[in-house]
Amino acid sequence: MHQVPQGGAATHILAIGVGRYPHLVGGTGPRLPDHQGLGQLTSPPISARAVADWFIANFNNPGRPLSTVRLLLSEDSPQPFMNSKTGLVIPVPSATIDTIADAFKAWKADGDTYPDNLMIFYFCGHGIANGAFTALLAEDFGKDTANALDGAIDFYRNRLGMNRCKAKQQLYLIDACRTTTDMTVYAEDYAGRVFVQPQTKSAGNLRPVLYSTLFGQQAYGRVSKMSYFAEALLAALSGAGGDESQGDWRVRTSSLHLAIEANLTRKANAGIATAQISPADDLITFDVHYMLAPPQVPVIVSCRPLAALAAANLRCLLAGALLQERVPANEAWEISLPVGSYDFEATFPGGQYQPGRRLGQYVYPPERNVPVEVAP
Amino acid sequence: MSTRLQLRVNKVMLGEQALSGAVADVIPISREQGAQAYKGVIIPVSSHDTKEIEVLPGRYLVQAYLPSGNRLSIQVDALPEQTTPAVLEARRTANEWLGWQDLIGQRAGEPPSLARENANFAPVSPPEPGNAPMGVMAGPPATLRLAQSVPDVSVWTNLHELSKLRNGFPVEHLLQTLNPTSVQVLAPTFINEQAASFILQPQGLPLGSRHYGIVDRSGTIDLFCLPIPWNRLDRAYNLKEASIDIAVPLAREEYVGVAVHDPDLGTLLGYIATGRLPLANVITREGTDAHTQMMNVLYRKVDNPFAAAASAYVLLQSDPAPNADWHPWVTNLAIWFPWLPDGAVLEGAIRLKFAATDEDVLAASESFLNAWNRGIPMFAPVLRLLLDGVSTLVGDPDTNSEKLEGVLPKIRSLARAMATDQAFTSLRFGVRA
Repeated sequence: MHQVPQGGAATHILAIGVGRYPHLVGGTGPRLPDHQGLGQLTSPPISARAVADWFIANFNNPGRPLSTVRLLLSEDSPQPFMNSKTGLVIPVPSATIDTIADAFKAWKADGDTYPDNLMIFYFCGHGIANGAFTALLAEDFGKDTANALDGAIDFYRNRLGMNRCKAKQQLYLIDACRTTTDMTVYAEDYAGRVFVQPQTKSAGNLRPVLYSTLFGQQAYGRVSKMSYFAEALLAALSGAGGDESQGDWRVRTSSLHLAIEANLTRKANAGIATAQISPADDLITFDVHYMLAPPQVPVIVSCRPLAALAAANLRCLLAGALLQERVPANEAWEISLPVGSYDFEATFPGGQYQPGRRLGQYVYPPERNVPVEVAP
Repeated sequence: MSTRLQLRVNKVMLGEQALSGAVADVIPISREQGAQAYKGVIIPVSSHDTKEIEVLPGRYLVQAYLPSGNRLSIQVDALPEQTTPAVLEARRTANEWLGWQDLIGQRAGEPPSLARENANFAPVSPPEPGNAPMGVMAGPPATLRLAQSVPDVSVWTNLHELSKLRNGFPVEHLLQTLNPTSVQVLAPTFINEQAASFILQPQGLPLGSRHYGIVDRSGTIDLFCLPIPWNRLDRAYNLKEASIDIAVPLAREEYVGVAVHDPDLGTLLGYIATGRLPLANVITREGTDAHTQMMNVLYRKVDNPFAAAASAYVLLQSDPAPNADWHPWVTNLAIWFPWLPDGAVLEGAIRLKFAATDEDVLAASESFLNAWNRGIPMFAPVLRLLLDGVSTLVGDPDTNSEKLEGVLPKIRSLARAMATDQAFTSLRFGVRA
């Protein structure tokens, strides 16, 4: 989807979104008898496409500029990908296990070019787990009814195998369920295909993993929208994950994790997503993205009591000047603001409550909640 | 008089506190005054203990990250020549006795709904913890079996065989595989409709045995390692054994939570469980005051090898430098505590991580085999390190490949049964929920 030779250390992205599963419930092919209740998804192709697009359009890492973006999508109505930098419209390969294997090996080969390369792997689709092992399901999962997992990626072994890749910095983003199924239990040692075997004398690569959900839990997507994790990831990269501890604004693996977690926790607390907490494995801090401007921080403005929201006009002001406002609505008001101090007001044209104000609220990553207290 | 902020996360936990409870950033808002940001300040989670830092007068944003993943923030004005309190309010649990579990991110401790957060704190009167000989049946599901055993390599094979029985088996079969020297059946200390809590208060137990908790919920059997005795120093540098708090969610699909009521390191285990290693590293590398030095030198290495292993795991994952100053004491951990596999696993992981020669690779494989012979690791992430290490080394002609090939299937079978989001090794057998 994107290829810019950099002649030095660079960043290489592999994004996979699997929504169409012909052999699962609702699919167009012969149904896998042991389908585990898994069906079609609309969110993963949208999510993976958005992730690939974000990196092409926005990614900035002077020491490791973007070199390649590989995108594989399985969706009901395949759509080409428009590269926002080049304007080229490119057909997107399906995310079958064979195309994934080829893309993974090519991605790894790109990583081998320079030790300082940064590798980013994003998968969105069905995942099934068994303890430490997770199978990420490709489009053709279940095509072979006698060996359904032949259509899956053994995430544990492939990540372990990436210790032989010369690229020292690798980030894995797994946007999939991690529920235990009978299939993974009975398959015992087999959790899908392995593309790269580990090597003993490795370079001590850094390979953190951010998961969309706890082990044993489901990740939540939405019909025809980005998954909650992808939405949180892109918000984090766009500003919520900003960290200025090095003197400039960067998104680091650790601040990325905190920002994703803050986003998902807020949605869980609001009852939008269910207990979707983002855990991590082997989380070590390294820089991912350097911001060209101070970050845009998610700000969530609400009323206390919440019931007042439905009658409230909400306003955001900077140094006395109106920046944004919203008419009454039932849900909290989500906006993005640059780091800084702002005033917030709630007024009630119908007179149901007394006006309320929060003055001088400092907006800073990962996000800011501003409940405006009002009295009847 | 200087200008100071007095920081605290307010949470009620049966009158206990976590002094190293949360990691906070103190961000200056009024930057024109040249105030600096304080990143990674460790602050207490407590109803009364505070941490004071000296700041320039001005307005600050304080953001605290709890092991549970909850983030708290407050805006505060540090007034000149005054000490200004900055108290962040943690969420309330359904009952005060679930406070530690909630703090370290265990599902048992989570408020079941926002409505429950406003419920009154009403600790259930604690029944006396019961002791009963092996075989005495107590009412399901709220009983805990506590087994003590001698460290033994046979536990791998025994548990591997049990893991094949997927339709359930009597809990006594599991107990037998541990070759226990004693078994107690305990009644809960507290119980509500959400979870049963067992508070263990070990006293006078020597280091050197392995302790396991076992919970049977309708054929789904959870086995988990318990760090007994978890020794800690109190403020007067007296050695105390920390309480161990085991919360059993009544929903059998939820895993059992183990919290250690150690004011200094209890929350470190929470950060480890959910993989928040950069925050765990802040606690592991806590300042250099006299108390901390005392803990590092005496307590962590000699009196509490569990804490030493947990700290070493965090350092291993956080510090990519070869020949780090802490590497030798991991070897000491492996040598001084032969009953605890974790030291040898960590030693092997360090050797493998920085392996450059065939000899390094062989040494790593020897460490892992040494660990294998000591039984299952105390910590879940260390079991995963053992799995990673042996999976990487198997087949390499420069290692004890034949032996590694023999042990790998058994390690893999326990890794399949493992709950990955726990600090202590927790294995699930029998009927899958």
